[in-house]
Amino acid sequence: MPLDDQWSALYRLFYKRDVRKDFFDNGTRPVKSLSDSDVALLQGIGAERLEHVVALHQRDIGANWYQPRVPATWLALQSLLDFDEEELVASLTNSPAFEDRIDDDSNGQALMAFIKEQISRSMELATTGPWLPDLLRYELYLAGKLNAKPAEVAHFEYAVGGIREALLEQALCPDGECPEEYHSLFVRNSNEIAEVALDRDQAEVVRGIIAGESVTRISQRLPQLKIDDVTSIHEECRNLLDSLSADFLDAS
Amino acid sequence: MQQPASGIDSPFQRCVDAPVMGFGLGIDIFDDSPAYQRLIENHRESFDYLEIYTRGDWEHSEPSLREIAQAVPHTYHHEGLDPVGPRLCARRKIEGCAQNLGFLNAPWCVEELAVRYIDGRYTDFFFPAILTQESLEQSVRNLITLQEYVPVPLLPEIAPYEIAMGDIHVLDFLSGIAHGANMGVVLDLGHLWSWQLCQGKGDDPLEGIKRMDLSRVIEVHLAGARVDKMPNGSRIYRDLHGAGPIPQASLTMLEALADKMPNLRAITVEVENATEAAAVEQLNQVRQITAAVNPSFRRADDAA
Repeated sequence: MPLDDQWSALYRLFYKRDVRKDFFDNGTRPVKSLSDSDVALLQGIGAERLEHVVALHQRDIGANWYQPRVPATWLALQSLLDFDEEELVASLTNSPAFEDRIDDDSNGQALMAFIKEQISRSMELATTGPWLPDLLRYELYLAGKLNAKPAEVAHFEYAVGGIREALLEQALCPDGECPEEYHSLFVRNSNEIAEVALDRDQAEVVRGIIAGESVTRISQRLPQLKIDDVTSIHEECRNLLDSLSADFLDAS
Repeated sequence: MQQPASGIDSPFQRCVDAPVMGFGLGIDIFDDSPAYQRLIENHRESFDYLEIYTRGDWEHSEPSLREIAQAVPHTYHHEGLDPVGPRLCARRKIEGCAQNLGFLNAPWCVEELAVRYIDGRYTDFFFPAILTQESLEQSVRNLITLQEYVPVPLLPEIAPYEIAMGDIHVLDFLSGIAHGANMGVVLDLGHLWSWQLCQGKGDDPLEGIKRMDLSRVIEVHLAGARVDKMPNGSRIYRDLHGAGPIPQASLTMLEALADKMPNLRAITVEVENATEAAAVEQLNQVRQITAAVNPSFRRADDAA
């Protein structure tokens, strides 16, 4: 199917820099079954023009897909990998991880796969940025991309709230952060997401309230606390959810 | 899936039979700037119709489409049918397009001669048609089949080119589509210039225009753009719509062609991301140029 092959080849030439280099430098066909005339059509695009246009679109992908949705993760990746934005997009699109995306990677699936791929490949990144997957997940919640319900609690192994703030407000990229549990309640209305940081006990109680559990049932998961303490936390969290419901959820 | 649309007249003839729409603004229903509501409220006298863009969405569009359909004359610009792909797009996409058209009273449906998905993967921009005979023939087959399921005539539009692949002239491709599928077409002047820039013919934006059967042009598009220069001097057209000025080349092309398209029914200025003032100003600019060359081109109500 020559037309299929032509489109596949064009796709690979555009997004895969290794394929592009191999094709223009060594004549390696982006798709093996391409005919000589197909190869001539691809060469007709012109290496220099293609490279220039690809660079323009790499900037667009960074500026339109990732920077607005997951800005701290995007900055952290550039800092930890020592890449500028263009190089980061070029590496991402060149990676098999990029093919995991759904549409414009709005749920961050491809970026997550890329981060995990980089961490598994580099001991250094595994040491300096083990919190990157958590940070991405956190920012995707903040962007409303993972939130399946109007209110939900998420648990992170690293203090992602502080990491994000350091990156965005002080341009500081943490290096080798130690694990530190972090819990958040994300509440979504039709326009925006609100986040409330919780401690571990509060997170457990809020999770129970959202699931419609009784205080007794919730307390079974918190054996270290007396029932009175659980009741007190329950009341506090109930009030929090009620006030969010009144001020935020109903405002949508 | 609804039954294929039936009818004796060709999609082209149905466009020719439609009234002249006049001068319109191309707007995205999801944009805040310009918001269509404010254009209708504050600038209704400035445009004859709105060309409606939904980004190919059919799940969140109904309220806006119904609102616009009630308020102003309109045409519809879908995207995502990928008519120049190696095979027909998924049925649910065609159904989505038909569904949106069901909320409207549009005389036709514009669709880019481009693809947004390659091998099932989303791309960050519309890849324009590969310009080969094989691609042309497949595109014609796709369009004829698509037309069976879309309730109004499809109006294919030449897409913007930053890179061009293929060995036939873009205007031969467009003419081939028009006659092969028996459809009218949209001639986007900036997109035509973008292809000329890829060929190193940017200084002669209408090179080869005689290849085109201009009687097939039902609608003309103009839009803002930026032209990037490569180190070797080559230029690249970047389609910005309302976020930039209309290039002088596009305006010059309009001046040269405005009285040479006997079946022209609509001139749309695509203004997504423009301010309200800039949108109105760009349309006025286009209206004045057209009026100087072809004073008889005006919306049907006005002509009567």
